[in-house]
Amino acid sequence: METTTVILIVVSVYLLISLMTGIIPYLRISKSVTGFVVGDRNMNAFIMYFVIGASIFSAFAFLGGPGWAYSRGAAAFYLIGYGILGIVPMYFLGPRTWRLGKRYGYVTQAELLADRFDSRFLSIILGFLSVIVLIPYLTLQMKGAGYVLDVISEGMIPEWVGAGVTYIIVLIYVLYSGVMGVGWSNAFQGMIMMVLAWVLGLYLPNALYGGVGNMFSEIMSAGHEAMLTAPGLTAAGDPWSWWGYGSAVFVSAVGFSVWPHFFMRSFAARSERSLRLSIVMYPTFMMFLIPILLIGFAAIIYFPGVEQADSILPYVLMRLELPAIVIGLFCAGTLAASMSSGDAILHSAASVGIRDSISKLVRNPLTDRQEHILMRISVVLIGFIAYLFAVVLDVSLVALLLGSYGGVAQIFPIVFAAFYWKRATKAGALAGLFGGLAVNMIFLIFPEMAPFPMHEGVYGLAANVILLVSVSLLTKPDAPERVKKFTDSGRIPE
Amino acid sequence: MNSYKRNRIIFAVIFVIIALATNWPVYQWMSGAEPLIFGLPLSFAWLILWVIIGFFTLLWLYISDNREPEHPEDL
Repeated sequence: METTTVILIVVSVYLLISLMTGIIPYLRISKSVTGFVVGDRNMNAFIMYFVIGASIFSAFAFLGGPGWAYSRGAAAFYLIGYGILGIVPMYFLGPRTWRLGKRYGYVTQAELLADRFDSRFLSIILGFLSVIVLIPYLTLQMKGAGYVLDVISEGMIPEWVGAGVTYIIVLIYVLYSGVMGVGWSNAFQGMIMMVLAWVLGLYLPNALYGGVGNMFSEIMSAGHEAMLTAPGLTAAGDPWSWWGYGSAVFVSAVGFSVWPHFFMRSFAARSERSLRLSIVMYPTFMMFLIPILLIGFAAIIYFPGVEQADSILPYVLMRLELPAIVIGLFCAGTLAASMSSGDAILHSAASVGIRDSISKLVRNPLTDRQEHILMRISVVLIGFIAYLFAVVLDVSLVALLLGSYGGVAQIFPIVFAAFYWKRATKAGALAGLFGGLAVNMIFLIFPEMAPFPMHEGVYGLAANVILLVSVSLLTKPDAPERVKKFTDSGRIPE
Repeated sequence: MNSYKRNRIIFAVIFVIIALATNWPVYQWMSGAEPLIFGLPLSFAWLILWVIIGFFTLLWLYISDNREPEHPEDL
């Protein structure tokens, strides 16, 4: 059989199983906002594990991870460095979030914060900002899927077709099953990703160098020792500074747990225990970064000079005499990485946009049914906008996305204060959030103004915390009974 | 001090150690390419070691949390 046919068959089978696993939960969820957004708060630890793992590791990890290892060496270890730190706050914030959600019916992050700080404005703004950040994120996932199919099929499947077909599948199961569709399909996609990463990551060093140790010895004797020395290289190829590496790890770790599409998954858990278990197990999922980075290292000596580092994985695979079925499986793996993040983002952006912004702007409160319908309409709308960006516009989305990490991290101080600091006030929270966002933005646009070569998010966080604390202390305390329900959220409900 | 609170303090201390070990300043002393450990450069193996330590610390906290379902307050 011809290579392309085999690849197409493998990819089609993968897409079909994704679709099925995504649609089946439709039979079990209630047809309501709670069913759509948080799966009736009934997600078990097994599904949660994959939702947490697979929604974090996107097409960016599958393509960008090896790309970083290939072009910047040890700089890529930062993905490992922040993952293990970033998950820890979830262990403490997650169960509190879950309890409040169960008791007061929250389904999104902004909803919880807006209630604590008694601010409809906060909800509307956070909702809009989330959608604005999540759309390019989704576009990136679509581009990744389209790109891989295009390269591997040697142009037979153009990018717009690949991205289109893949995301129509995603659209269908998100529309039908909401977050449970995301969960079930992520369990399947997560397994595919993990298996593929480990197989390829161990196979390539063995096939090319006769083992992982030999590979690194050869990289060193070829004069690339600086690459393997932390913190690796910058994009320009110079040694990266500890200022840069350290602050990037810090900001990413702080932002990790408050990404809106990630944070709101706490609401979906069946119980505190299952939520905690899935968080505790996260490092085992993270281990798949090891083979992912090995893939990139494997290409350094054999395939030097590839300009577009993110394309290194498909580039290598096309040049090795691999059986068609392996290439097909690799395609499925990349699609799985793309879809498992893309579906979560699409679902969250649509839910957040309606729940936190639109429903707070209309005069009459929406009924559950209206809200549910609007959410599904916005799934289609947001999917379509992201797709337009993916195929029509050629803007540098990676830069946009990396820029957004510093912005997202600014949510952390107010989330932390909501749970742990009684004295935090509405004015303090708003001042901290917007001050932090503004400072982050200034140093993102004018990095030369920064006193130290650190990630702009660090400056944003500093301004954020200073404003949050000082303005809170200068203003009248918030209503104690409202504050109490948040700071006491650690208590076991009777 | 009950064991619930004590465990959380121990966890916080280990977390700070992990943060320092995987970033500046401690990581810079373990940032070299050599020696190779299980075939991986020191800089790589060092981080993986701390991910494993982090995992077992979380697991320990989870197990000890579950052993004491009657704790008065959760941090």
